Amino acid sequence: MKWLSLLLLIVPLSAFGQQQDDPIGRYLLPPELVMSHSEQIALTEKQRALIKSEIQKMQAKFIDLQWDLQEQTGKITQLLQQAPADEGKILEQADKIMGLEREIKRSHLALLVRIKNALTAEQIARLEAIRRTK
Amino acid sequence: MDLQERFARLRAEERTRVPPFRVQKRPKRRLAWALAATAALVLLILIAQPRRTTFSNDDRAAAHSVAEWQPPTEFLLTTPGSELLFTTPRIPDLKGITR
Amino acid sequence: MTVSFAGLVHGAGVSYDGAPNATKTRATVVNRADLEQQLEQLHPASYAWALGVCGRDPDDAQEVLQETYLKILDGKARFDGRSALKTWLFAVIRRTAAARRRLRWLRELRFVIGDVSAVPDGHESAERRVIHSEETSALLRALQKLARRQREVIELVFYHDMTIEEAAAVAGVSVGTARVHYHRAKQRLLAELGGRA
Repeated sequence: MKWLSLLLLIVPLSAFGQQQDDPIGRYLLPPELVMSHSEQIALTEKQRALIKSEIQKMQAKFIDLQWDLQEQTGKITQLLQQAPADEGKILEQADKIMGLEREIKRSHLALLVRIKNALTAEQIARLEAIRRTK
Repeated sequence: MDLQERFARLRAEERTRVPPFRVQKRPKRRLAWALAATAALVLLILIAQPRRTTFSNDDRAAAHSVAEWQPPTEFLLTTPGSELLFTTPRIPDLKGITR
Repeated sequence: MTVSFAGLVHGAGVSYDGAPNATKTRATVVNRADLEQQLEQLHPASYAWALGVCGRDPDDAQEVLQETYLKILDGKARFDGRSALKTWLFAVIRRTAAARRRLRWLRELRFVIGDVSAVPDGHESAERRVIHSEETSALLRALQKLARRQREVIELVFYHDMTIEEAAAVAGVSVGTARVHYHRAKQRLLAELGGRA
């Protein structure tokens, strides 16, 4: 009986742990998963074209933002090498960098939402089942 | 050898074989315009055929690269003891629990 | 006393910004002699670019370059000064090479009745072929595996020291698209060659 109580305690704890690992991402599907199993989930031509287009649009934006990020990161490293370090300027520069990081995350999230919206409930269920086996 | 060095080497090698600058008139080519137009039309019809969209290696690489991207400021979130917030205890760790 | 402005409008005046590197100058070239001089100055770089867009075939590259020079000197392609001369020239070379590829395709379908005198002189061609080192041969093999636009953009940046913006102008694509081509080309080359960026 003691062991059964322990088991009942552990199962929700481990589920909680998994949720903690990926509390938001678990509700979204990685594009790689969708592309790799496009035949299994019978993606239509329209779905394929949409997913491909969204990935390409996102990549163009991602690359642009990375160029900007590289430039801004270069600036903050220069500031950090000064002695004494100018806290005000560094935080100002950090705001720019974090703004760009936010844009990248936002674009990525928009892509994931659009891909999910392009799929049917059956396709989503199938992909989630495939993901659980990995 | 990095890419910059490789291209610099290629440039140096090819600079040894540059032909002299000259401008030379060439006789014009006659086109069979009607036949060329037909070829263009055939090409258009071929292009207009519905093709199946496939996911290229570039598409996969694009999806992968953004998924694996690490923000430059990520290091700011690594605090001492943070691993305790994101792991669950294993059964052997509960040995001390008594009724 | 009369002052004639004809010389200023129609004369041989060419305005430069005084920069020593004429390839970066936004020059307003107004006569053929000056244009030819500019083309001759850029010839080694132009030939290298022509090689790049012609699959490194020296005969094709020479043909493309000849056609380009004639187009420019006959006024069929006009430099409007909106970009650097080199950027504009490289764009004309690229478009000329693309047109030749399409013409060759049509010719292969036997739809063109034309002068097929462009038979390469084997001796001249052999002389112009570059002997490449092992490292550059590996680079050329890797470049051949890239998509055409990727290959063009990466060559323009690494070989011809152009900025992404200039490479975009030559390739006839937006800066954003050029960045994507550059990024993918660099990833692929590094994967093939196993080197550093």
